[in-house]
Amino acid sequence: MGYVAVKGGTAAIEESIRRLKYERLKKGTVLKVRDIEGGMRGLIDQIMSEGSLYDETLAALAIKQAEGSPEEAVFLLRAYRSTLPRKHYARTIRTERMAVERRISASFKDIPGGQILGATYDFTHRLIDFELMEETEETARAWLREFAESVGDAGSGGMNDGMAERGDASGGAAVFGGASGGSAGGGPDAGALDGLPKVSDYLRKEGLLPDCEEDNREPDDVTRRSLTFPSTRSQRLQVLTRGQTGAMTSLAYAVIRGYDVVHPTVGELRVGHLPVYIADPVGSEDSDAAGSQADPSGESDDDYYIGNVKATEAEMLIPVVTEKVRGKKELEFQIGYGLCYGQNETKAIAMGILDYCLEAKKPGVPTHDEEFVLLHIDSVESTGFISHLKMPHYVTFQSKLDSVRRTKRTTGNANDGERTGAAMEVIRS
Amino acid sequence: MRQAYNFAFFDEGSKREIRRAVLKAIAIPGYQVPFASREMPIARGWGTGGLQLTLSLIGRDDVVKVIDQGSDESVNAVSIKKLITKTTGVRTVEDTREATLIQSRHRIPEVPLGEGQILVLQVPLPEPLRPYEPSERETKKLHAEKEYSGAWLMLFEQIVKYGMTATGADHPVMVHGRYVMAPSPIPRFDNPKMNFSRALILLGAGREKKVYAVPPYTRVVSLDFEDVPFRTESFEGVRCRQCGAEGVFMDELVDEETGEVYHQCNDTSYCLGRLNRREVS
Amino acid sequence: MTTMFFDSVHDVQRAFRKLVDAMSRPGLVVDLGEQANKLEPVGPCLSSTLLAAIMLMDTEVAFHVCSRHCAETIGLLKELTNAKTAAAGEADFVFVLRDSADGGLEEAIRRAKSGDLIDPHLSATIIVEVEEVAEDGELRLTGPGIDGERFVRIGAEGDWLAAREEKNREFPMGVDMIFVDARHRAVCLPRTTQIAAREGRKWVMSR
Repeated sequence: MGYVAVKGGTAAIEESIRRLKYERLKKGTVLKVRDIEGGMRGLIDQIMSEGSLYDETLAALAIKQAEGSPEEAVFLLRAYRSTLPRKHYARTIRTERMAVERRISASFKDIPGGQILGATYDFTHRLIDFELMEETEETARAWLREFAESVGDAGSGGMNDGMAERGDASGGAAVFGGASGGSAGGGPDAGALDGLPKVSDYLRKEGLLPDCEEDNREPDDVTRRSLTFPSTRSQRLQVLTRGQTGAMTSLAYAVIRGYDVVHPTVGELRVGHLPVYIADPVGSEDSDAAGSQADPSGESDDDYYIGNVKATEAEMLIPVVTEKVRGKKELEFQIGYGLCYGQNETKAIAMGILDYCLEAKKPGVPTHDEEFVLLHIDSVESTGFISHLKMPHYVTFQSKLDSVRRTKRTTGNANDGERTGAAMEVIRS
Repeated sequence: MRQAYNFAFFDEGSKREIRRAVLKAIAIPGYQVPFASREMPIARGWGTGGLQLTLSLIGRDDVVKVIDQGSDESVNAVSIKKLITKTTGVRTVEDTREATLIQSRHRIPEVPLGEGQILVLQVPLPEPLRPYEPSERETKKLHAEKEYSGAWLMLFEQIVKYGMTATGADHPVMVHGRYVMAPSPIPRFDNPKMNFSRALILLGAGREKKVYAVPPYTRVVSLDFEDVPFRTESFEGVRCRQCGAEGVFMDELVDEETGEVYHQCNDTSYCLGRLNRREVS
Repeated sequence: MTTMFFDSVHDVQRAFRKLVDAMSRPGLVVDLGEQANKLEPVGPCLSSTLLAAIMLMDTEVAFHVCSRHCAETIGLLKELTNAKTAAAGEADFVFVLRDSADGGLEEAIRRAKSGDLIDPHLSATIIVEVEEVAEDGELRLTGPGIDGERFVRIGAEGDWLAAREEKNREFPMGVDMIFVDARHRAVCLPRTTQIAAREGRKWVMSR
């Protein structure tokens, strides 16, 4: 009859997990992943962006499993991403080719191609619509039929494969060129909304924005090689695009509210779909690493179209005083760049602001400190470390107790207040 | 959609990257080698660094022990053990002597480790100089130049204030006479076990993305001053209420009924081992 | 190259554990035979060399080969691992094969990258095929990983010990080495290991 450890821990955990499942199911509702995918676009877009994995169904499944907790859902996606092998690298995506659904500029009233408001909450009145409690699939279908007729689209014409059957018409949807295009768009505007010129290109032509040379160096991948300081621009952009929306929003808010004199304007904000191409996988042999592209412009007629991703791009214009020849000061614009999966406009704008700050690197301002910003905006890291405080720290605490006791013994003549102060210092150190 | 996971969770590419980092860490004792640090199914801050090391080392023939705060049954240890067995099917044990791989949070087992064993420690904050230098870029320079006056200064200030050093766990050490290293939040009591250990000790910080090592038979010295030598926690005159052990790290507990303070071995498998041997004899 | 018996997960893992032992306990001779024998020797490389390559290399690293049949080996290693090639001074892994030119090992050591004070880990690992790796030889090893002293025989040509001593003079910078022989025995010399002759004054290192 030997002594064995009481399996309290195992039992407790198993019961905890059962309890959690109970919480998820106790109301008797079982969410269909399809419903989440259909109706929670906002959360799905946020999760895909922070999870750094573009797959709406997987994101919806993660959201279901996490009961809607963004912290948990992002964690699920990231952990899954860890297990996926890399098969290909896409060709460089040019956002000029975006099939635009929404495109605005706050800097100019008139832009080539026009301001397209698209689908946005910006102009809704935030009044809770109680009628939504009575909404049914029938009323929804009826509305969709009406909508389709009103945009002159015969009911087909989504961007994504399979959307045609759902009767989801995005007015003015574009059609991709390339090997296997998406479903055909009807309507008078079809095809007109990819290839809209960039506002920044127009500004460059006018000499209002400094010219920008293409940097075709292979980008650093922080998921393969950890972030080092000083960071490269590609590392910064990658960390920012994966960053937690809330954290980035707060930091960018601090910047524009007055923690630094930065007055950004939205030069251009685009939301739409970007086509993704890969090099012909069976094609010409690449004698070097699978990742490098033979052609820096990254395109070839043999490329395969593998799908598209919805993305938000923000180009922020920041007026900056620069010193030119002979001490002459000039005002010019610099760009802060933001890009995220999904329609995440606040995040993309925040990213643009932070990108500029981290390039400018003004000393003494916390939002210009790359370590301060980049090391604290990752959702999985920040929530993980905070939640780890719930783990037992008995031994470390015991060790501190020992120190506190000994210091109390030796400062025995000091008054209580002082002793407590010293003890607190010890615990803090 | 994929159902099955790889052996030991990771794909081979991830394991390779960690393995390269491990070999370099062993070659440069005490130096923090950066690694990519994949996200794990367990949260950052909960042992993902240690777990990544274990999963890159582990094979079918291994026998694994996982402890947290000295206990095999602590919820964190159980959770990690579950993930390891789920992704590898490897046998787990509580007896330290039987294990080939030991993953631990905040303790080194009381039973001295042998040459066939590897100890993996979970590290929250791998940078011993961080309390006085927040910038990673700067601390890398300090390590490069062996500029450790700040570490000594921290201890000096404690001595000036309290007459002694007042670190609790994670008291910094000097490894192979070159790098100051954070031993992880093991109590001071355990620091001497790192010195000329017979087992390899690997330390992993998942969130901070660093792995470092203390090879066997390597000099590890806790930082102190000639006139204020390093002292471990004292358990003098204290015995374990269960097994009678002395001279090991103790948990302090209060008897709910009598209000009496008593002590118990923190290393639960050590305590059980003693109890079982006493029964037999 | 890999026979149908070679398990890219489990055989690589077992071999890796042996190398971990060897690197942690310099001078310990490990036997990679069980795994290496499942590889068919192709081209000029020993199967233990291929095993090390499969274990450690992929698209993230670069390698360099010292051999009279460079091209063949390079092609083979690229096919097996997808690693890139690089100049001797930039490679993460340097392979010095049995058929390398005289003085090839010394040259490889001299040119290999040894990291810098900020990033000493950005240094090469040199994998060397030798005549013989055996216990109880004429080299006396001391340092981290060794209880007292250990003796080992590494049958490599040339004055490589002096080249290594020079290269590793400024710890933490330096290079780390893995030696393999045709009987699949391996031994590792991390940069921390001090080497002296069993008796006499040769190769005594200052520290």
